[in-house]
Amino acid sequence: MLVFGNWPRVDLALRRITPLLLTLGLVILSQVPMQLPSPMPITPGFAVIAVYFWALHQPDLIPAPAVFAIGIFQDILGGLPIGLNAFILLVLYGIVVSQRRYFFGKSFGVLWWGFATVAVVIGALEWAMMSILSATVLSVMPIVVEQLTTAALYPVVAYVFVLTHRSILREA
Amino acid sequence: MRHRPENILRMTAPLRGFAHRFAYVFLLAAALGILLLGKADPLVFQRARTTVTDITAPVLDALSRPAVTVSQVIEEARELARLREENIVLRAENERLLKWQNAARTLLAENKQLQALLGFRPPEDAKSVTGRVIGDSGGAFVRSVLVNAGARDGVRKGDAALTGKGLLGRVAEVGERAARVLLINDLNSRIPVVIERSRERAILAGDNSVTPRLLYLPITTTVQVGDRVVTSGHGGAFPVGLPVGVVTSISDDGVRVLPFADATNVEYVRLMDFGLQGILNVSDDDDQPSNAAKRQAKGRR
Repeated sequence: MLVFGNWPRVDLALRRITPLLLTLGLVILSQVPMQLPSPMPITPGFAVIAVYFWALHQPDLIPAPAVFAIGIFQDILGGLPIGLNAFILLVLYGIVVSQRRYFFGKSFGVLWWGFATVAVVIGALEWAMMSILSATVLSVMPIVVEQLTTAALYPVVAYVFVLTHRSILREA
Repeated sequence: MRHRPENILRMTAPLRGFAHRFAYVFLLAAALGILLLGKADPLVFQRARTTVTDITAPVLDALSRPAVTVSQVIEEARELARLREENIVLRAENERLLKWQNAARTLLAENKQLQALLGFRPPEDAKSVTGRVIGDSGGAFVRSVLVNAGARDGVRKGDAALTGKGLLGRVAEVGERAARVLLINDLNSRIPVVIERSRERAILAGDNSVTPRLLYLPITTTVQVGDRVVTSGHGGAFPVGLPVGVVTSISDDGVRVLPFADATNVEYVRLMDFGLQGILNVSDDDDQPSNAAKRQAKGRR
């Protein structure tokens, strides 16, 4: 490959920022109205998948400030109370980074199961926070559906991230 | 929601270095702080919201087109399969509607004559902008949609959002090229309504479910399942008589109303400016929130 000037460094920087850009792109994608014939809107939590995946495989590609930024972006775009997702994603990030050693070298099935478990925990946290903010006990059904959808979509999104990760590793 | 700092530190132990840990805890606290600040004064982040929405609107606009196309193809295939029976239903409905049209024409003429007799001054015609829905609400706990029409198209905060069938919500945020419509079944939506048959006033309060609830009905209410609910015009936010929905259940749980506008499957929205300066309808000036805006912020809490 021809190498000239600063190009390799720029290339590497671009590759390192790809996970963040990809995640922001997925957040936008989750906002697209799917016109599904369902009684409640279903918004897959792509950001949750992204933070889980990168915190597990290579936390330095999505550092805490990036997680914060993703959360704020999601809050603004979705018309949620600003700071809600930032807080929840940071909690998720903390949990996953602290449990990295446990997941090390485990099969994909275990990682998926781990994701489902974490999705339940942060779903409960989101429900509790929204209930407190609105000073009412909210119905749990919507968040259950949302987290189930997200858990079901995990393999698809994770596959895209695995490809991205490989391409970054190849060049780094 | 209190956290003991040592817990957080233990949890994040593998985050190498003090700086990392400090940054993490700081960001966590910042997120919580922003959340509470935004809760205390919803107008603080107005500018940030509209800016980000404006920047993302063109992307969402482009992305939502294929999504709509796909759903249209599915819908068309389904319709094709049901063409015959649908045709029969439509014929019957058409016949019924023609009778109604007749009745409406007669009433319209009569109404005009009576208005002329009384010297009644009709309200000014509403201005309306039609926008496409380009974004869904952001998750399980909000019911709102993003529409690709904003201030440059003449949309104003407080405008009524209607589909062909009825009231969908009201404009809660206006950017330059996009606006957010708070749906009537959102937790924060309160709409003054009246039962069409009995003229009883109530507030239609959303609770994020498909069927919002009627609050503050008189104790002596004669509300029945099947009653139509329309806007009452109180509070000056909406004009009188916009169709809202139909009462579907009366139980200990309260009186539930199924909105005419199907929020889960809406593609185009008409944003109507009725020129009303009600309590919800404030000019939004980001730099100097007017007194009205402050009042509104207080009222919403």
